[in-house]
Amino acid sequence: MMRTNEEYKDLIDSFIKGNLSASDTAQLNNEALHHAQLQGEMDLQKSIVESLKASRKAELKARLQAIEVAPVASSHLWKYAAVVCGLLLTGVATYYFSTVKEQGSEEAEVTHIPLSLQENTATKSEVAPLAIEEPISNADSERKQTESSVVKNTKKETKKGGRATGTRSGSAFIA
Amino acid sequence: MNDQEILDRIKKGDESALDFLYKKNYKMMVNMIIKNNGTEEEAKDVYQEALLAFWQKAASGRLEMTSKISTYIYSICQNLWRKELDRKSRLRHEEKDGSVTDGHDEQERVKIINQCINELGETCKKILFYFYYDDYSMEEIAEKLGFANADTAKTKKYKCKKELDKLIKTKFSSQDFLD
Repeated sequence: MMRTNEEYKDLIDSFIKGNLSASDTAQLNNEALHHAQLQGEMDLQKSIVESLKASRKAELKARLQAIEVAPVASSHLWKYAAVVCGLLLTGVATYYFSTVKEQGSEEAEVTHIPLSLQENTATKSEVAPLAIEEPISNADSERKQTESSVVKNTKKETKKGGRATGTRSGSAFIA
Repeated sequence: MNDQEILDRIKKGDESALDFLYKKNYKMMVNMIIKNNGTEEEAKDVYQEALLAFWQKAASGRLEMTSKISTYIYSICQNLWRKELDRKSRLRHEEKDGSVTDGHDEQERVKIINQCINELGETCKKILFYFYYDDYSMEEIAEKLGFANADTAKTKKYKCKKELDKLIKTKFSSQDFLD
């Protein structure tokens, strides 16, 4: 039984809105297979309804887009900035303290130089009692340390023009 | 405003309830997407889509809430963002394969239909929007637009749709469709 165009339009409208029963949907699809104009109308109505929905959606989206909200990304940026600042501070602090440490050890060496220079200039009789006062158990290791510092000092002194000789400073402790 | 009040207001078509929800949950939803490799613009878009999907369901009365509204919207956001990531990944592969298809004819058809929708009067547009997108009943449309009753709304909807069909069909070859 053929329907009128108006009946078909109502049927298509119900079909698009999902209000058609399964059997009516199957029947409509079957009729559309043998009726090119009906198929064309169904395709067009689907496009129209989709466009109507898209227009309404765009309208509501424009409404939401117009609402002012605090950007979330900026709060993330602040967090990143804080992390970067923290890392920078840690780096600077590490660099500062390591430099201070190096300077400290250099100063220790520098303060040691006059002592060794004193040792160099001192007579054997003046230095000898100091070596005797060292504890016997630590004597070997202390001797090694002293010898290495003497070698260092000797090198420095050699650079400075060989104002003192290794044998002179060494002989002061051996005695 | 609690969840039930929000749902009631959406059901009545009060769009300020949408604004309220948008502002209330903005940070939580956008944060979730940004943390999952999204930009704020993408996050905003997905959140708006999710909120409108919720609106559509709530307005039509087809929504049965078993959780908080924010939890429901959050799960829509997650699903939409997952889909978007899949789409992006597919797009990258298609670009590599050179298999991007163009629906030029369909785009042209949509463009013409949109032009015709914009030629409709404001009331006609609203009736058709409320009927097809928001899925309001004829009683609700009548109440929202101040018509006497549901029958008046139904007649108006019929006339508006006919006008739109006519406008569109004049721009296509008429033998392709029903009169």
